[in-house]
Amino acid sequence: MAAYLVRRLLVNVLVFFLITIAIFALVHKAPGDPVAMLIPVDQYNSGSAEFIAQKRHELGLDQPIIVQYWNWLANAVRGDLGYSLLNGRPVSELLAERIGPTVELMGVGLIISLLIAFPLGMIAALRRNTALDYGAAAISLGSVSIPVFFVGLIAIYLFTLKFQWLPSSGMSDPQAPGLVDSIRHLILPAVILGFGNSGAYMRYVRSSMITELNADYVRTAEAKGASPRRVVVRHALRNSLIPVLTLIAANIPQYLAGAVVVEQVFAWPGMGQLAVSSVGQHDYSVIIGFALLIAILVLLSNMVADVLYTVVDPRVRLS
Amino acid sequence: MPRRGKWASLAGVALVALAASACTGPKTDDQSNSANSSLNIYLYQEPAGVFSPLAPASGPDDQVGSLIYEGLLGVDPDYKLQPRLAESYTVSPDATTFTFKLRQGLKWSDGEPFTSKDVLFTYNMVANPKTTSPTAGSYTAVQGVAEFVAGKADTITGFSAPDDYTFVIKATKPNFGLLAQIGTVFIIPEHILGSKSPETIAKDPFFRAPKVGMGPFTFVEYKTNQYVHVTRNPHYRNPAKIKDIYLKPMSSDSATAQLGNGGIDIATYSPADLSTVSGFDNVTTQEKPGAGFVRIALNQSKPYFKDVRVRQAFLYAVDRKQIVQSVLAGKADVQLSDFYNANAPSGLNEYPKDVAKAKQLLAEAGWDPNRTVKLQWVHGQRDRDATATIVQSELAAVGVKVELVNIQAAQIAETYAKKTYDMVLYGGGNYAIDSWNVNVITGCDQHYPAGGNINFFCNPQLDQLMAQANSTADDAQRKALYDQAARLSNEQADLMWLYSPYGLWGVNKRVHGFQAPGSQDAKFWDAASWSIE
Repeated sequence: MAAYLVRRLLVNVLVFFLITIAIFALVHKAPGDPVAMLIPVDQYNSGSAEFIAQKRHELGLDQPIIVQYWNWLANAVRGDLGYSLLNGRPVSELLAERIGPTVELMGVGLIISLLIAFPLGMIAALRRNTALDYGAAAISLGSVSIPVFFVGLIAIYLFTLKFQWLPSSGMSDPQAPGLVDSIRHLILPAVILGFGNSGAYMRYVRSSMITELNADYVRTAEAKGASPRRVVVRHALRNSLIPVLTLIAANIPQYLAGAVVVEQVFAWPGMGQLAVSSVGQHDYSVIIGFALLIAILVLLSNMVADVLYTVVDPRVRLS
Repeated sequence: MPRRGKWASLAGVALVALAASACTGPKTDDQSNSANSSLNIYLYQEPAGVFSPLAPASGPDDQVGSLIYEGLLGVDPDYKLQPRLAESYTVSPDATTFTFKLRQGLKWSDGEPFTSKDVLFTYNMVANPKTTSPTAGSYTAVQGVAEFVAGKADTITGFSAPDDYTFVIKATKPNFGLLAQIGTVFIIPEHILGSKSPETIAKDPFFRAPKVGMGPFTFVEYKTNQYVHVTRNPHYRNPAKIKDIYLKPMSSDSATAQLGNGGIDIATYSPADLSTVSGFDNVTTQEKPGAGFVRIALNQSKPYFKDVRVRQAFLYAVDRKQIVQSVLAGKADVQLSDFYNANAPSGLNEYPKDVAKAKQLLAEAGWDPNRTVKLQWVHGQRDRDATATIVQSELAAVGVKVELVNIQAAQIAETYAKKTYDMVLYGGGNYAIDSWNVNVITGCDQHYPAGGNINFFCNPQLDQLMAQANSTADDAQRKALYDQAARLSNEQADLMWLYSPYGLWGVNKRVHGFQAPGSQDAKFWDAASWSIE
């Protein structure tokens, strides 16, 4: 196991470098000049061209791309991810600020989607091809196909405007902060995010439960007189966790990339919002810093998922 | 089944907990007592977080700036320059010298006295390109700036403070419009920033949290992407009636919903939400003509757009009145010239839709019916997206093939610099405070990137009229000359003017004194007079 992990880590480091090169090249080659956007067209005057040239020089954008990459890499390994083109703040600070709210939203969203997916998946598996199964299938279809922003807007209309139960934006109310207030702000985005992701999990739970329930060992257990509940929970459910767990671990970076749409709709100050605005404004350093973070997380979580697999299923050996 | 029961009860507990927390909190965000002295305003975009006259222009940052800073002059909702930190000002008859008499006895929000040395310091900084101020180029019109920038002089002779309460700006040549361009700069404190070097001042952390200013409110904090909090400035000459203001960025749908439930007191809304917002019992609506306008620029470095008949034909082809009605629910004015409609003379050609005339003009000009021209714009604003498709179909009806191209904001500058585009739909600008600003988009010497004339139009006679108008301090003479210029540009159809949208604002009925500005990104006016009942 240890040898496997070390080998895996080394491969990951190499992949990581390749990723940074690819992202850097792509982002800088994209058409469009973020510095020119700093001045609106109808405010252009004789000094504008000089200002832009000066700014480009200051940001090092007038140097060959290999030099820019090397400078960036030299700083990045020391933890300095550079500064945002637009407001001059350190990229690491921007990311650090946003990761907390995103983790909170994603964490609660994940819990909610599992709370929806597991019961529904199990009911569907146990009551296969009955009305309950079809009902659960319809719900999961809805979760996967109805766009999240649409559900979000309907939720805002109902819960913020019509019933006036819940706020529709932000993480907290500056005039009346507190735990209850934070929870109230979290409910809508987390539930909608959770619902949106639950469909896929539900199908996984259902199909792996069905596979397990048809396995020989289940029939053996039943023949030995184990109660149906014991069979389902102790045996089938535990074994069907495997694919779901690996799916979750592999999805974590996706979660962290910030359910972009949910964050936009509910003005949740997370990483997804940062990603959208920095891409739109071609804020190179932020985009690269952000992509780097995701790259690290993907590599790490895939590794964790593989290790987790061996823990949950002793039949699997890593080599 | 018992197992299912366990899950069901778990789910049930979770739901009950969620519901309980939903119901035990305050019903909405505004009903608590502390809210009687605090105001919630919607920000249409996340601020960059740098609140400074040295930073690139940013609507939401400047809106916050208009609460915490002040300039010598300010612009009221009718686009008139009003004295703010200056008590009065005079312009020499030849429009070269601007003398400001500052109010006496004013204090910064930290209690320090405000004098002309703060003003002198501020202007020397914004005019100095070493600070990377994006507006530094406008100051080349001030005497002594060119020498200072070239290193031949240590100071800018055009800025002087003969005594503690007088500040004088001298222009290199007659330039009445300079007043509107540089008279409203936010003044920054010399006693705090005076020791900073020009190279480093723009990045100074002071501007992340500018706690010392001359505005009716002082900065408290900016919680990134959540809210900006400002509080009453006790040293302001006319203390504000409201204690705290929270400016919150969010999506426009969220803002409209929160206007309805009282969570937001002041917000802009789009014409699409007109009936919703008018239907709110607790909200009154205000509308104000905008200072800029939406237009399509026709690239006149391309031979086929050089003919004035082609440009006129394009105007005749499109039913702009219909666009205002259907796309903007009537909440806009058809734009008739480069000039702010209220400043423009009467009797301009309105270019009403006339398909026959358009076809005739195109035929006379020899327009090639097989030619396809590209109309590019930055996607994302409902009215502009709809307008682009309408223009395409109306031009097709007169025999002009138009291809629609979505472009990203970051790519646009290149198409101007390389003169590769055909038609571009965009908007903005401020031509209301002083008509001299029109020169930026029409001047022969303003061809991009030297200025904002991206359609590369050039008419020396127009430039002469504009320069003459700008050279006199006599209001009547200026008006007469600008009127001539307006008639000429209207006849020359230098731009395809479309419409000037109104600023639409929803204001909670408990707020008094708020005067809506003309657009969602315009600065706020006279916040000290706002009150909450």
